[in-house]
Amino acid sequence: VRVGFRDISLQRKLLLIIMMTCGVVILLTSVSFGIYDWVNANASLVRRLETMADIVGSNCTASLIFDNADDSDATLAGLRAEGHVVGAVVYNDVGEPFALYHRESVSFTPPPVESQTSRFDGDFLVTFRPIVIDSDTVGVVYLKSDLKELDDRLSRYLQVVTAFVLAAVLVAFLVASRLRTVVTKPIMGLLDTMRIVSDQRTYSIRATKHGEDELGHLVDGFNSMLTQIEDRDAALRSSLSEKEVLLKEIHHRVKNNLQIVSSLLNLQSGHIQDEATAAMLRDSQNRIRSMALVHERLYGSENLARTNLREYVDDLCRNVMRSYVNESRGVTMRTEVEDVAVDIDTAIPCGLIINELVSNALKHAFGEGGGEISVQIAIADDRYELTVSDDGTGFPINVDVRSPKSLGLKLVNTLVRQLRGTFDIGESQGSGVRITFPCQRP
Amino acid sequence: MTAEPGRRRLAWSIRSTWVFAILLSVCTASARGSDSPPPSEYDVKAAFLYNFARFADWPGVQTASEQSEILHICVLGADPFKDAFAAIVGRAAAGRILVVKRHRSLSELTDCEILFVSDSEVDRVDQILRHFRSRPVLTVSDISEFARQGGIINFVVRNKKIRFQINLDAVECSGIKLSSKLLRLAEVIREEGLAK
Repeated sequence: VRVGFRDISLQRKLLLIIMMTCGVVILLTSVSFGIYDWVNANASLVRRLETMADIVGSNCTASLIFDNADDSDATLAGLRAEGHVVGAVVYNDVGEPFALYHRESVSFTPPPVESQTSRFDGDFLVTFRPIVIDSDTVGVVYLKSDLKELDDRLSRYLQVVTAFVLAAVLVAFLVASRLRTVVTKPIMGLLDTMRIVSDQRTYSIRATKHGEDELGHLVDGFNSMLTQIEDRDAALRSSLSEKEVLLKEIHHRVKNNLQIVSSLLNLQSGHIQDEATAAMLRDSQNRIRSMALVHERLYGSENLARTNLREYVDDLCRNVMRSYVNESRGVTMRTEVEDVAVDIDTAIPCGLIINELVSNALKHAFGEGGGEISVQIAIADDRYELTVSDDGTGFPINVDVRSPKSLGLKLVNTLVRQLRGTFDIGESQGSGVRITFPCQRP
Repeated sequence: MTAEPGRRRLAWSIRSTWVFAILLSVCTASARGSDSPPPSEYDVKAAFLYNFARFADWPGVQTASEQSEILHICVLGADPFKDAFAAIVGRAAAGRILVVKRHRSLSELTDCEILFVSDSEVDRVDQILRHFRSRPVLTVSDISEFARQGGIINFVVRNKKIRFQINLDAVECSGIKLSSKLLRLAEVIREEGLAK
């Protein structure tokens, strides 16, 4: 029951508490009044019966001392008007019944005479009163009364109390219903606001305040917390956008600087006669451009941390082909890359590896006839699988991929280690280079 | 607020113990009396004379003089009571000590509150009543038609019981106030001779 009471709504709880309090108070008051009244009614009934007995006794003195029983009988017959008197006896001075009255409907035997006494005897009140004249006791009056009057009074009282308690509870109900708007309405309002905030995550709404009481303070506190959340959100958002702007700017500058470096190398290569040195400068230029491309893509995209791998590889391969104008004549480029976003730590090593391998293929794989270079990146078992292959002459047999002589392969080796990947070269012609490395989970 | 019935009842029972003791003594006294032969006619009449005093008020006795504290019952003529007054004399009726005096002639009669006219005076009734007319003396007799002749109380026998007649006109003339309780028990007579 207690848990049940705890679970019902505040509104009902208030209603119940007020109604119960009223009911209990009224009931207690009525019970104490009832006890008081009951005691009083008993005492007054006893008093009245004694008085009646005294009056009867006084009226019978003459008939007793002049030995006129008929007169006493007539006096007692007058008790018929007193409906609650069941029986009455006048005893003479030796304690013999002298005159008798009883209600017609009951059988009645005069009890033995007793000294002056009044007592409740079962459902009846009986009294013995001496008849005294000039300090001579000339007889005794006995009266027996039923308690119908008390019973009637009690039942009337119970009816009144029941009606009164019901009325009080009803009034309490009405008052409590009015109070509902005072106490529970602000709580309900607060509850509704809280639901909207937690369900829709809108922090701009505010609870309505109804007064300066505890609930008012609660509403104030709640609203102030909402304001704080809103302010913090705004601060975070502005701080984030500031950082984004800054990051874009940095990517932009890095890309610009790398482009300047590339341009400087380009300018310098114009003054170099030696074919081999010029090729080295061009290789370096390509490497720098492949890095710059990543930064360019990053600041141009929505997401500053990751870039689309397929688009990046496409751009990169196109750039490399363009930089080897002579060598790429008659060569077709085929790319087949998973449509995934990767972060800068994957994109740059990956780009540099592709740059090296594609450049290498363009320089060494094909003769006059040209051919096809294929770049594939697939994902299997949480690992990237990068394959660069061509249908050209293939790697010389004596190339040791673990400790290569050329800078390009050394670079690839280092980059593969950086990606914590493995690296192998297919034995058959045109099988190309296969590198696998684990996916970098954000 | 009065005391609750329980406590009241206790108080009664204590008080009533005394009353019961008194009652018991009265009862045993009567019981002793009942061993002797039943009371004679004049025993009863003597008791009645004494009891009449309890229901009568004489005019002018409110002053607390020594005289008024004694109630005189005078018997005129041959005394039929013998020692019937023995149990009554000296007892108080309405706060007055009872004294019985016996007289032969009217001239001796002074200070009488109750006058019993004996059978022997049947021929002098008119004279006696005229003498006491309008005086505060309660005249009683068992001479027949005594009340009709102007006496106040007249003993009669009804169903073997002693009853009495009261002449209301005579009561009014005497100035004595008789209690309605007494009148209720009496056969009321008017001087016109109509019983009410």
